[in-house]
Amino acid sequence: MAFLEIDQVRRQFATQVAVDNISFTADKGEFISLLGPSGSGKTTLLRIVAGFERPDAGRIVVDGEDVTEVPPQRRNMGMVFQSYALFPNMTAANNVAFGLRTRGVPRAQIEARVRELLAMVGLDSKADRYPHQLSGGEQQRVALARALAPNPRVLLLDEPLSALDALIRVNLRAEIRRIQQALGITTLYVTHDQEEALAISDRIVVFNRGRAEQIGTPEDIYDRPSSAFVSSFVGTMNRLTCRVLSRERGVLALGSEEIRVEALPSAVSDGDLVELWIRPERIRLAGAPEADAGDNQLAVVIEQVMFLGARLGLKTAIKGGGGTLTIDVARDAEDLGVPLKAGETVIARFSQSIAVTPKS
Amino acid sequence: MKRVSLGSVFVGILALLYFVVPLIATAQFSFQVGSGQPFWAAYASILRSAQFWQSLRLSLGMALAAVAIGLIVVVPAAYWAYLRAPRLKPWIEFVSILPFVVPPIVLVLGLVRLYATGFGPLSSRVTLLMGAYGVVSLPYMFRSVDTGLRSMNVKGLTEAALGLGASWVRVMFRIVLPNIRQSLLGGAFLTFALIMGEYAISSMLGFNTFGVYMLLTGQTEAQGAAALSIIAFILVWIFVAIMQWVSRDALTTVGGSR
Repeated sequence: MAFLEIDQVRRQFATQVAVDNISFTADKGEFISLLGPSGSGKTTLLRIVAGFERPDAGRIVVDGEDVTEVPPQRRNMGMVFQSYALFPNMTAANNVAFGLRTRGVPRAQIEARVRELLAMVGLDSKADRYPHQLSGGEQQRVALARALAPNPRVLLLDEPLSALDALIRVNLRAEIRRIQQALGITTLYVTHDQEEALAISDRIVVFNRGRAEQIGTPEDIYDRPSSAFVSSFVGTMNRLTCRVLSRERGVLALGSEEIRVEALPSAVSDGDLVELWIRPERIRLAGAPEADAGDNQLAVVIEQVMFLGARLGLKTAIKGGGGTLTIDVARDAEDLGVPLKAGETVIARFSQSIAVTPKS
Repeated sequence: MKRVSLGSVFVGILALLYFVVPLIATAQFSFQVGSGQPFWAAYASILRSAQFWQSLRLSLGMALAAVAIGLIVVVPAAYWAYLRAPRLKPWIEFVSILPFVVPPIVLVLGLVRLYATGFGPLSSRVTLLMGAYGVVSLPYMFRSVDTGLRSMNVKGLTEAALGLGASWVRVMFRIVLPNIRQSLLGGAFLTFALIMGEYAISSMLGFNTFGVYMLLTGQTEAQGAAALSIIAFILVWIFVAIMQWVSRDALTTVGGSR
């Protein structure tokens, strides 16, 4: 049985539906990211789970107990806020101890638990510092320790890293995942950063306009996006509009070029418009067309080359008017015999096994 | 190191003189007693007066009551407005400045007319005076509390505490009050100073408060009035220091290792 159940939850503010009949479950110890753009309803749902917002409809069930009407004080959930929300009048140790004191835990146990938690987040030497004496990353570690101290049933994190520098963010997200796995605590993690969600989640719920567009593993979300929104929100996606020339043979017209695909959606027929979805890193480059007919090959003109460190991002125009194609190649890729610079023509190759959806 | 400009030093000295010179002049005048008397005669006379101590006790009690009313009424109201009804804030601000708009005589007449009979304990003059002081101190208390709440993340800290299992009482005493301590002290100081020198309301309600006593003394003994001003000045600072010391002691232990 699922440990956390979010069942048909709906919340409306005036005329705007913030959360629109969201349902999913989380197993014990599972790490689920709620991913979406600003205003998509992910934080509202997290606040409903925490008890800070009341849903207009639906239920929140934790370990078999319906907590929809239970006030936040009695839900036993640990929450980490985007703004840290550390108590400025208390030291790091007292912040961590706060939740234990409210539960009347004996003093000796509190001290031991605070030491354990601060050591876990690497701040045992800064127990007596006040929040304003700590860096942003350290404050967020204290906030995490504070949320975990009372052994919450569910850990809720609301964009906890968004106010931090890139490097600290990457380190801290790995640390959050390590601690979460070590404790085996069921976690909901709100983020608008798709890379973050892909890196640390067991599963991702992609939000758009209050709805769950897709729920799946990071691989599902990235490789098999279920909608145009997911395909463009998670990672970069080339979306090429084609016309079906032969549904039976899987032949499409892209400008004046022909493309072959392995499978077409059942709903389309000859003459219909469809969209091809190709990730930039799934496209390989060649200096000239190759004889083996396995892959699709398109002649493209390089318009712009972006230096991305280990990789290069190419913006290209498909010859024959098929649109633009973003291509991601390793910097040390084999020599094509053609320099990768604006104005050069290269061959973009990609598999016939690519996603095709009806053009909406 | 930050350099201090000559201009700011000049303004600082000017401000210091503006405040200190009258004080020194008043003190010097209070020592100019007739020949054959010690220079502290005016002070001794004031401190021996039973009326002085009586008026001081009354004003002190009223000042503390006004501060207490502010704490009990203004702090929860302002906190609630920040947390749950931010749209009500302009209205609360409007109400808070009403005492500036309504003249004391109108306030007193209104209070007497409404409460003078038939409201049991509320009809007593002491209660009326206390209520009136609570009302006139409202703008000072509210402004100070508002400044304190504005500088803290009211919603975030409240939710963090609630999520950690704290009751509302605990949130108020362990989180909200300690974090607006400085503002509360500021509001209490202003209220204290206001009530200690207040004359119009208390005289109209027939009370011999410290302010009334100061005025009466000024009409009969010139040096005595000057001595009283200096005593009042020192007293207010002593009481504020005591308040600060007491509240620091009470509030810093809040986050302590209990």
